[in-house]
Amino acid sequence: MGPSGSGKTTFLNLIGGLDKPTQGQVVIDGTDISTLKESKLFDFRLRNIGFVFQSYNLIPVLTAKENVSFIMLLQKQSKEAMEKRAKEMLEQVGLSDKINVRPNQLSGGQQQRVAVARALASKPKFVLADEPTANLDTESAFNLLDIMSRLNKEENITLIFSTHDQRVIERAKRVITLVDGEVSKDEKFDR
Amino acid sequence: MKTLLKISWRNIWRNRTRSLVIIIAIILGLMGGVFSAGMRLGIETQQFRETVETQISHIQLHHPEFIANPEARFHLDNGLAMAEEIMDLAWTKIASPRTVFDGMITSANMNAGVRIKGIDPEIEARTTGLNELLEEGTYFEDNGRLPSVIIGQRLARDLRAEKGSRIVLTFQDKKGEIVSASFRVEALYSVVSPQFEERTVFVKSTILNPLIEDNNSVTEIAVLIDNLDDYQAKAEMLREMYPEAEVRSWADLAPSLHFSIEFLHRNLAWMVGIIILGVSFGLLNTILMSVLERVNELGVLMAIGMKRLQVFLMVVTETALLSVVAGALGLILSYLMVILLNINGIDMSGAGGEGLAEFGYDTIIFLEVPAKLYFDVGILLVVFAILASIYPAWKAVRFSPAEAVRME
Ligand SMILES: Nc1ncnc2c1ncn2[C@@H]1O[C@H](COP(=O)(O)OP(=O)(O)OP(=O)(O)O)[C@@H](O)[C@H]1O
Ligand SMILES: [Mg+2]
Repeated sequence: MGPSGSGKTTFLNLIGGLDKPTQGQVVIDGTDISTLKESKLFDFRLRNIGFVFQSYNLIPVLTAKENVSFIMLLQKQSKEAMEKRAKEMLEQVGLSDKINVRPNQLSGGQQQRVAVARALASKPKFVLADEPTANLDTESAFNLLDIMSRLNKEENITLIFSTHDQRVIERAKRVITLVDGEVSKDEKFDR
Repeated sequence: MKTLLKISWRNIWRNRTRSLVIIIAIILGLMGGVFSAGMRLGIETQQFRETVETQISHIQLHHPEFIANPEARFHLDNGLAMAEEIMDLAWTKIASPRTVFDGMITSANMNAGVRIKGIDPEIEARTTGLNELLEEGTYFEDNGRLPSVIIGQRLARDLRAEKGSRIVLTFQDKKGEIVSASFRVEALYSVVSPQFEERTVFVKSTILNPLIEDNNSVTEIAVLIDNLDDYQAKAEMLREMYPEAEVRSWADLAPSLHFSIEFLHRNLAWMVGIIILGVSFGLLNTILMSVLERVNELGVLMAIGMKRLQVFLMVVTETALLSVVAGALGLILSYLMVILLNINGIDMSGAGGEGLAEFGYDTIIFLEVPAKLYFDVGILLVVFAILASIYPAWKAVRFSPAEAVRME
């Protein structure tokens, strides 16, 4: 967490390999991703990192199920596996009835749930979520957070958020506070 | 790959109005291009038919001296055998041996210099279709006491003669002696060229040859070949076969027609090319707009693991698909347009068509669109469309994913 402009997005982008640090390294599981060549980096992201952005997450011309399958498709998984996993994940986020619906027929909250399902479907090492609740009303946000913390346990995948939302912070096991681009606090909680 | 196609296809229909506008623009562009090309080719085909097919044929052979001095004594040795030999070649349709020379025609009131063509009516019918050019009368049925001559309508008017009139032809025989003979006008023909019509008369060679005291005289062989595209090669082959003869193709015989056809063919590529180029810029604009609207979305795609090349290809595919759809519709509609317009032809009289009529050409134009033109236009459109998509596709992948995702 941290105030606006404190560097949350920048931090997540560095971890996610979307930005390169001008100084220092980003090491994930022994791989220094800050020195990877671009094509290797695309591949690394595809295989290891899930993303949920604030908006524009979904491909508007694909259905919910196709969106959820998309990363698995890029990973060249088998059709059956994709199909099964996509349905399972949509069920997990409570959208089994919206499998063949396109994003523009879903509410903002539902769209974010599809994005979460997509990020987790390919079983990445961790998921980066940059203010995923920022554009949602209280109820949808609450609902999304519930789903995410449940999946965190069930799927055993680490979720890294940037947020102003107190409710996210209340559930976090570790909270890093940024101020002016620097870590000002690093707290661990046992929940 | 399939998904890339699916996404591209659906992307086209995201902004239905915009896609429809460019599709309609492409359709109209293609129809306009096909129409003007078809019109020009139609006029050209008509002129070609009317001069080459009914007057000069594809290739002609003469004695070299004959060209400057069209007299009976400059004949082709063994001309009849030559004509038969040529006719037997696999790539010729027909070869018409003629006895041709200049002479004088005299009616009751007037006289005029003419070119007299002694022909075999049956072969000539298959060569120039003379029998179908008749406006009045019958085709060498010889049902009078005098032998038949067929003359042009314009010549008949000049001579104040008509069908059934008696006329006299005067010419030199093989030895240069003056010969006169009476004929009856059996029919009047008409062709587009007034000069030809005023100057050319036809009689049977079997009547003419004894009069010049040479029963096998052939001064001209007119040849039609099967495939007109390589008339030059075929003329060359005849030149090699008959080095003693002067062999001239239709292009040698009608250089101005040849020039205008060549010119048109060269122009046509530019004309069609420029239309397609214009259409491609419209397409470029459309795709560019749609890409710039989607910067965030494309950024997300790249962030989650879609490669730049894949995103690039997606934009190219989108453009290619759009051009294929528009091109297919445009060509189908152009084809229908050509069929519809050709039911009655396009009447050019009163629309600048007088110029045509003056030169004796028909004022009703039929569009002429070879299959190859549709094919070329289709291919050219898709190629230009793909070239036009390169810039927008490059724009799409220009940003790093992080920049694109953040962009508002
Ligand atoms: N450690 C850093 N070093 C250099 N520049 C930084 C650092 N952290 C942040 N910045 C710069 O600060 C600006 C704002 O950062 P960023 O967008 O990451 O903030 P944020 O916390 O996500 O803000 P918001 O809450 O508004 O989304 C960016 O231009 C970024 O380049
Ligand atoms: Mg931010």
